[in-house]
Amino acid sequence: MKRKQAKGSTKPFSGLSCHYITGLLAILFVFLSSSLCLAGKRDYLVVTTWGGLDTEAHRIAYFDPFTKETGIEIRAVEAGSGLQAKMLAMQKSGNIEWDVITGDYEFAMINYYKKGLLEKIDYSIVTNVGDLVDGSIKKWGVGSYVEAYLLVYNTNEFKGEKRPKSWKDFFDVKNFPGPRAMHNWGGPVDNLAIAQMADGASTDEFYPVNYKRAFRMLDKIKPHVTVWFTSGDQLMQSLIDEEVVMAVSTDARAKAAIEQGAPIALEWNQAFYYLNYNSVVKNTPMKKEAMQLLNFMCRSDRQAEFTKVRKMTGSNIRSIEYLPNEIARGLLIYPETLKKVFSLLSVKNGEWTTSHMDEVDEKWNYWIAR
Amino acid sequence: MLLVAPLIIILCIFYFYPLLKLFPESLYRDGHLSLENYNHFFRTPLYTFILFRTIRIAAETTILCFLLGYPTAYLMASVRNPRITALMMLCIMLPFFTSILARSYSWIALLQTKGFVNFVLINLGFIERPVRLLYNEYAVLVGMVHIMLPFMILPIYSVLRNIDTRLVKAARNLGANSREAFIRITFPLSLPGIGAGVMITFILALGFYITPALLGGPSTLMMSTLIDQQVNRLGDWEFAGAIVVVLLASTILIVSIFDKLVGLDKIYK
Repeated sequence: MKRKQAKGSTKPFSGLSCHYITGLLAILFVFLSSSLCLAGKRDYLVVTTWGGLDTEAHRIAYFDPFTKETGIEIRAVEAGSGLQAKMLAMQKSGNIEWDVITGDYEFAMINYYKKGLLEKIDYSIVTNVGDLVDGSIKKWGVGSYVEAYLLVYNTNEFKGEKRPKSWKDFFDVKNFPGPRAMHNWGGPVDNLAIAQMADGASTDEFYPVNYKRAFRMLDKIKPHVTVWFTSGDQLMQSLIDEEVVMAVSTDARAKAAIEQGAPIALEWNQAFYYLNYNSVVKNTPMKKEAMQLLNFMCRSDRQAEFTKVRKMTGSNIRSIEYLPNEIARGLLIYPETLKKVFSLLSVKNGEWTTSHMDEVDEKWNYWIAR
Repeated sequence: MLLVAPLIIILCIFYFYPLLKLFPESLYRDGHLSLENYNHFFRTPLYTFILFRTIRIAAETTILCFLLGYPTAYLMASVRNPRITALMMLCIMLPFFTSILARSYSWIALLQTKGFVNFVLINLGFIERPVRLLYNEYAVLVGMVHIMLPFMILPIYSVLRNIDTRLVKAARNLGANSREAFIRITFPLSLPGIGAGVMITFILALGFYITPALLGGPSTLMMSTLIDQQVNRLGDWEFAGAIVVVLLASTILIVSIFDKLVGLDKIYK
């Protein structure tokens, strides 16, 4: 009775408090969920790719299989040229919309890292790194695929033993006459390395760049470089049209040109490569999952799939085991070829390049503009 | 006055505001207030060299546009058949409907080694091997003149059209031959149109980006490409800001010199 009374007496109050509590809970819920939203814990990963074939290849080789294995959905967004600006904006606003950045160069990645846009890679989660090529493991990213720069020459012009075999031959216009093609796109440091190699420099002597030595060599060849290409299409066109007898080319573009009928051959001697890295966006709420994806993308079988679609060589040297021999033989990670090539930014004092990029750019631009 | 308000608002938001943000930025280096960016600009030979080249290419474009545009405008103004005038106007305006990108690419298609121009020249027997027409300053000039021409023709045309024809008749009546009448009557009266055309063409050419980037080679590097490099490749907004400010300052300087020589106030009369 007492209890009943007590119950009865508290009823109106308890009813009110019930509403009160529900209301409070509702407010709390809204607040919590909105703050959770701000923290952005999602059930999917947002990953940047470069669009077109690159997006397609990433989706087939990495994203779809990753979703299948882990249940984590992946949304690919196109990064484009405003990548850095967008990442800066995300950090400023605290609304981190992206989780993983794929396929950017060392210089760009270091720049992002210095600006506090990237997480440190957690190598307790990213563990499939034992078979990655030299230069792949960095605190700010993991090597994903490699792009080689090498000498290609016209096979109608140079046959048998009379073919160019080194950068020295590329600069030797007496014994190997004819117009040449070199690139004039972002990052001229490789052209300076090539010039120094042609002058007999060892890889230890590349950095700091000996500008005098490099430009003295380049001065000699400048009149013979008729094509300064700024896009891969331009390079391929000049090879297909046989406008040039030699070129500094990337392996991917050279192979594509051959497929389109260019009478050229690749010389792997003194060839070098750049790595493209994957990394994780700073302060992402999906850090663990992002690291898992990075680890997944190091797998040799996945990288082999990527190579098939994207025609780019994976950073995992064992990915050739999953590729047909005729493809594997043409890749720079093929054991015999791998012995000849080196990572341009991993040689002695390689870190010099990242702090002197603008100086190199200015010297190069001035030299080439005159 | 109220009618100009939208324009002024748009200008303030999309022009003056970014500019006012960029200018203070150019005064910083690594977070410290300094003139290092400007110091660097004038100390490094590259930038002044490219600045003068940009001005030179813009001037060449302007001169070529004038040489091609004036006779065209004169012809249009002297044709008395409105149908023919309309047709000519259409021919000049038509390229405006196509994007600069598409037009620059079509020049690539025309000028490339296996392109139309080389094909015709070889088949007519003028040359034996294809000539390199692309990726040099000539290609850039061709592309830029093509795009800028309407900006030169239209102001000159509108001024020529409004010159009182009786003045020329009077001059002829007083013994001037047609050449003299042109030099002493028509040409001086068309100066405001020329001034406007030259001004617009020159200023637009200074900041040109797409055409030099697509049709040019290493010897046609211009200021806008350098700005793009700083922003997109090096992420150096502070120095990019300094380049923008120097380019803007040089433009203003050149325009004011031009004003002293020709008198811009004539244009607005």
